[in-house]
Amino acid sequence: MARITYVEFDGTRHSVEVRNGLSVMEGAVFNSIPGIEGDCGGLCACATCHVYLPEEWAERVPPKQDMEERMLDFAFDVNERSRLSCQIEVSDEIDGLEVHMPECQY
Amino acid sequence: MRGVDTQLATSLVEVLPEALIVTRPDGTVEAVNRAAETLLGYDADEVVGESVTLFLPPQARQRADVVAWLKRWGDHPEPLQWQYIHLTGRTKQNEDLRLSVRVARIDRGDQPLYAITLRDVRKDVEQLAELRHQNLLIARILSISDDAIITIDREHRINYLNHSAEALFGYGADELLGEPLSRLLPARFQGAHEQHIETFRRGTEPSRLMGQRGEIVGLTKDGRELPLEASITKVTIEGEPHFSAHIRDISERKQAEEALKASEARFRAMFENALEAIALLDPSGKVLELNESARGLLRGSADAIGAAFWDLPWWPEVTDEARQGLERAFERAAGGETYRVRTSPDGKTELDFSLIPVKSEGEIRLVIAEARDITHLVS
Repeated sequence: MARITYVEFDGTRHSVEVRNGLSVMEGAVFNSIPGIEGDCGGLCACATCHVYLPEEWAERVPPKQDMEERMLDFAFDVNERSRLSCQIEVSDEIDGLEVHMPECQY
Repeated sequence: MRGVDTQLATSLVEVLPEALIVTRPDGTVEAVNRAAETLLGYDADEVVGESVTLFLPPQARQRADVVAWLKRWGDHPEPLQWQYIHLTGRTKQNEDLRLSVRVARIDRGDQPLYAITLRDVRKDVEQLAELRHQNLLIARILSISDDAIITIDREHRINYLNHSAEALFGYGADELLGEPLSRLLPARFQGAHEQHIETFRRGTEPSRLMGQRGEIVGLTKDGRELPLEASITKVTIEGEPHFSAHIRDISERKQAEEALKASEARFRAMFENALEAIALLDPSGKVLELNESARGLLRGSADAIGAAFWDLPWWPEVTDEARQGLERAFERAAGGETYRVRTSPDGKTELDFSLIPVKSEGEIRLVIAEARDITHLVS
């Protein structure tokens, strides 16, 4: 179980407990948190679960695979902190994670 | 296409309702069909020999290189992506289009060609966005409701619960989704509860308040039992019934009711067993309640409640003077003064009245009239 804080683009914060084994994207969708869509259901095939990780978290989550890097081509306003949240698995190690949403997913 | 000659194949491509564009690996357009001309607003000879980026320009705020991606998809099909990635296209009239783009590689001669189909999905995207927004709004409203909300399917398996339901029963949603509702009920209530739902399912009411008669008791993860009240509603979608319950924990209300009952019982005991005759009066002097001693003093006068205090037969024979004396005494009390008066209109029974105003929030709400027979003390 990890507590994850999802920060909307306008600064609204949603702090929820997410079960281990789910993805960070699923944690948002299951809690009806606006700003993360996850249209493809977590297959790394739609780039609608784009988030930014704070600098201090960049090294603490598993690195991007090629597929995620390629899919990020289709996310909006991508930068070096961009991740697809469907590719980050929830575990005790990421307890306290904070993710920030981009302005749009479409 | 088997069984089709080249001329027929060309005609088929021309009448295809989907826009079709054929490019070289570097993105140069080789051919377009009529639907593509219509969609993009160009004549074929204006685009043949031009780059596909003429109508599939670099994507605003996205880093994707369209030509490289189209070639990549053609060379290494990843079918799932076709369903989800939309590209922004641009017509000759500079109008933006939302396009669903697919690509397939055609191996021919020394260099492959790419068949790209475009479909304008602006309407679909708008409708989907509207639905998504509505769903999100409703989901947020439900998720933060103070009422616990649980939804079950035909087999009484839980398919939705909100945060309040998780908190009420002490489970995480993932522990309950797909589980039978009976997990949340003490064993002795399970059969009856299923019967209630079945009766409701067969009935014609769309919703009902359950638990008013105390028939609903919940069971928390740590084994506590909770008295509950629930509004249940039935929604049948494509023949499948769903039942949604808005549940309130009424433990606190029950405790408050019990406490109120106990307090009322203590008050009654004190009031009814007091040796003094006590009448509770409203601010206009009408009798609200009489205790046992007062009823004795009035010799069981049946119509005392609601009557003016001074009109009651406190003595077997009441004089106008005695009545007026009591009315004046009441007025003093109603003015905020604790007032005492002794009177014996018949010269036989002497009563000692105390009239005590009871204030609340600065106003007199009640007057307590106490009467004591002091005949034996003065004789």
